Amino acid sequence: MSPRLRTALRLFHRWIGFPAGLFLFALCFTGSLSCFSPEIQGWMQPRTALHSPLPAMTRTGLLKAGQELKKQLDTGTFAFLKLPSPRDPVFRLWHYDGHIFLGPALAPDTGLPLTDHDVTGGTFFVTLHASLHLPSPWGQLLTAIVGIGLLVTLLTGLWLQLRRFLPDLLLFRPRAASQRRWLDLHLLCGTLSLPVLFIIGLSGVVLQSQKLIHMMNPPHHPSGHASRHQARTTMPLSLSPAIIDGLTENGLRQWGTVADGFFMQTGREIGLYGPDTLHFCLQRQALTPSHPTLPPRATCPTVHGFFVGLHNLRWAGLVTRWLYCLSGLVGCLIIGSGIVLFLQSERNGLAQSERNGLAHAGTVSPCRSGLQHLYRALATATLLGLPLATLALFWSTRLPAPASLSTILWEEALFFGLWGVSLFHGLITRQAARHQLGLMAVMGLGLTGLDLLTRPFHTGRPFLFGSVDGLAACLGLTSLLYLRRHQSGETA
Amino acid sequence: MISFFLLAGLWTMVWLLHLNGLPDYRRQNPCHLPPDGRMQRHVRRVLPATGLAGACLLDGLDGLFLWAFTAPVTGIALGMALPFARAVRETRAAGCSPTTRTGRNRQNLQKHPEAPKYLP
Repeated sequence: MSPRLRTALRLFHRWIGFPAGLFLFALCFTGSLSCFSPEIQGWMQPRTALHSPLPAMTRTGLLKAGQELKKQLDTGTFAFLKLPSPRDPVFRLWHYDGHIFLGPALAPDTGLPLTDHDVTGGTFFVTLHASLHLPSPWGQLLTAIVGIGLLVTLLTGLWLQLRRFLPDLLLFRPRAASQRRWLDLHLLCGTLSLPVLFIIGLSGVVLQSQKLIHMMNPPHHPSGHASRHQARTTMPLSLSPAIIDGLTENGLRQWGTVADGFFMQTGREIGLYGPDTLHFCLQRQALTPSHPTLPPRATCPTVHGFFVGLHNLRWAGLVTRWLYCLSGLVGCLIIGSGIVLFLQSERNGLAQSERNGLAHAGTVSPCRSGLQHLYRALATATLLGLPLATLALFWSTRLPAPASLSTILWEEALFFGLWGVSLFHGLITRQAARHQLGLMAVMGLGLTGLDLLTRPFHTGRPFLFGSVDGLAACLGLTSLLYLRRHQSGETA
Repeated sequence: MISFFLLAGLWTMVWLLHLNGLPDYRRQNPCHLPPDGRMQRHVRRVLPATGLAGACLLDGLDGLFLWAFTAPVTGIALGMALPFARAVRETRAAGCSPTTRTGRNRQNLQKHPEAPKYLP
């Protein structure tokens, strides 16, 4: 490789990687959390998992939940009824508010409401991952551009490392100088998870591009076609116990299970949609009273279904989903180490130019140091602010909200407010990272205590609560160890 | 879960064989394997394919993804754990405190006289 090509590749890798990395870190982090969206929902609503053993879905519960669905549809709310599954063992009578899915949780055996208030839940992270909570189509556009940035950065990084790819595959020197250590970590994680990250990134870009194309060219409906809303208002929906029973029996016969499926209005009648966990490719087919059986279809009928299956992995088993989540966190590690390397390199460049006397006093140096300060603040808000805001969201779901605000508004305001404050904090002080690490250690390690204090000790899902508490404790412990190491390094 | 542990063991073996196949000056061989030979190279190539076939037969599509995700996870875990294990072993052998930095761990491998020159 010629030095000129290497310089050009390095330039691309740095200056596409850093701005894209600020968003990519958020995408990887929220994507990892999205793998366990139903479980996070369960943690945030502990009353849904209090009985041990958890009751199974009964006919009484299903009919009662069906009545509740009918009531919601009659009041004009376009709700749907999600059926219990091992991952989320309660009925969810959800509707989409434009950002997240919300609605009451109903007991699987009685169909009675289990919680008295809504929470942002796991779907908050799914929306954050898909569109960064920005208005449509800007969120999708930004995510697609950032995804392309990921692919470019991965390819330039691979090209730069190509000759040392195999010899340095498992090279990590934890006691080397700081920059070398971070570079080793960046390369170790980057080279080993390159294929996985490339496939995740590519499938994400394809899905977002499809959404954007769909927005730009909406499907043409023939004249006389009625939307779901129009169809509902023209004719009252029939949702009798016989229809629910019949659809459930047909669903069991057709798919073997209806767990994780959902009842939703389709056209002028109610439909039972099959679980997403049945096939690799997403197949949203509904059984309706007029079409009680489904015709045989191809395993993967659409390209969109294939990429949804590849990116979301809803069909996968628990261990695979854990590993997928870990791959996302490894992505965070790669991006985080890349951002740290970028900051170190900028700092070294500034020091070098000052040493060489190239910087003109009062003009170039303050400008560059100001930019470097901005980069550091952005990096702090991304690498520390987001996990901190996430921990704060978890805390807020278990603590009472101010009386003047609804719980969801309070939780979302706290999340975005804290994330913004993290950036502002980084702009006003150089010690921001240290303070935020300290706060993260306290919040991460304290989450277990809060969890145990705000729910009964015995629950139907101890592994779920233990996993969330354990991950938060790991985050807190890592922050604490890094903080201690940083302080001891400074003292030395 | 069983498939995961089997695949993790298989990938660990592959990574250890890879490390054993590196040039002498950067060889990390915590399991004291004999020097790299034709047999080891052959096993290194065959093991991932065998693992893939076995995982697909056992778990179908889930096995394929399990196989793909286990490789980086075990590699990263091994890559991070090995230097610490070696540092502890070397400090014990030298009879000094574990906090002392060993020379080998700090050396720049790219500056070794036997290292290939990457830049013209």
